[in-house]
Formats: sequence, C-alpha cells, structure tokens
Amino acid sequence: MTEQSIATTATTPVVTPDATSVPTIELLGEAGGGCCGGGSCGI
Amino acid sequence: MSESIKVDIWSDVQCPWCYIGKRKFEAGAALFDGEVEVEYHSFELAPDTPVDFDGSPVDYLSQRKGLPVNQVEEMLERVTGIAESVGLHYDYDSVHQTNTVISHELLHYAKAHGRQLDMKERLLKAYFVDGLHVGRIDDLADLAAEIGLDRADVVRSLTAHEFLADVKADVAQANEYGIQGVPFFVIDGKYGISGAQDPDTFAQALRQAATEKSTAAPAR
Repeated sequence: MTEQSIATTATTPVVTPDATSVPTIELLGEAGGGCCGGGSCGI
Repeated sequence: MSESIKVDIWSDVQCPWCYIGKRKFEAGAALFDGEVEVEYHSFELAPDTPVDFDGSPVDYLSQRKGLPVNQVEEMLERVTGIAESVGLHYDYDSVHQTNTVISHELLHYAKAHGRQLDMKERLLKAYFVDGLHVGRIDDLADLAAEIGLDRADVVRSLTAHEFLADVKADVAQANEYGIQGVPFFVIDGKYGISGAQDPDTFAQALRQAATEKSTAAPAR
C-alpha cells in the first residue's frame, strides 16, 4: 500500500495491483488530500 | 436492474479532509448512474488525545506534529479554503479538539438504528462548522436526539461502551487494508481510493466496479 500524502490533485485512476495487504484491494490513482495520525501528513 | 455498489469509508470526525472527501464522494456518486450503498468505518487519528484538550487546534497540531505555529495556521487556512470550495464553512476558531472514540461509538449505535449517514453528517458539521463538542456523552446525545435517535438510550449505550469493540474492529480492519490515512474509500471490496479526490475519480471507480459486476453476473 502506498503511503498517504498531503497531495491535493486527483490523478487519472490507474489500477495498481496490491499484493502485500490482506485482504487484497487495488489502489486507484495516487493519494488525494488526507489526514493521518503518524505525522507524514500535515494535518 | 443493476445491483448496488457497496462503498466502505474509513474516516475520523476530526479529519478536515474527511468532510471535504465526503462532499466530493457524494458529488461523484451523483454522477454515477446506479445505486450506491455507503457504510462508514472508524479511524482514530489521535487516540491519545484527551477529551478536553487544553488549547486550540493550532496548539494541538503544533505540539503533536512539532511544527511552527505559523505553519500550522497556514495549513488550516489552506484546508479551510478547500472546504469552502465544496460549500463547507469551517470555523477553526471554535473547534473543540477532543478524543473522537466516543463519537465513533455513536456512529456505530446510529448504524445499528439505520441512521449512520445522518449521524456522520451531523457530527462533522458539529465539529468543523458549529463549534460543538463531540467528545462528551451529553453533547453527543443531544446531537443524536437532533436526528431522531432516543437520547436516553444513546446515553445508556455510550456509558456502557456498547459499541467500543466495533470501533476497534474497524481500526483493526483498516490496519489489515494498510490504511494509513483518511478518508479512505473501498469500492465494492476491491478498489481503494485514498483521500479527498475529485468527484470524477469516484464516479469512474463506481462505473468500473459496476461494469465488472455486471460482466461477472451469470447470463440468464
């Protein structure tokens, strides 16, 4: 799974297989604006 | 008739991007020509926050992230502007920074009574727009009563922490998915969308899921 970022621009969805997490989901596009508790996001 | 598409959304009540993302997702769902079933799940951004944090959101974020006050103020100003662009009037001067676990318990209570979506909207508005406290049982019970839930029963449930295990189960499931930030949308149990993306992104993902669902359905 990709790390969250504070980027705010949506990108064209590209299906990216995710083989590391269980249950498996496929992440569409890159992260949009979001919040995270660990400090990698601004808010 | 096509089947509805299930969307599971991980979110926290004190996440400014979650309210923005909610609006953008709703706009995307409106562009989608099909039924959408939404279920909100709990995500705690700061489970160690006290119920009554002694300070402003600027103080809190500055302390927690180790950032200069002016940088935090700029961040909040920016996100407030983005909220405004989707019709949300954030008032950070009135926000009560708090622990949100009990508000998540209320969201599970509301789900059990078929009112989760209304409760979610009310809690986000209470926190970001109305300057209300969302970390105390009495305040939460008032908000629940506003949307038609039984106030006394809400107090009973929250006092007994009837749904705390469900909150923790949501958090555990987020960990299993590898979710590190919110909002996070899982479309039809297959596709993940991270963050407050544009409505078109959500609409496109819903269409993709619907197309695959109809293709996979056995011919009759």
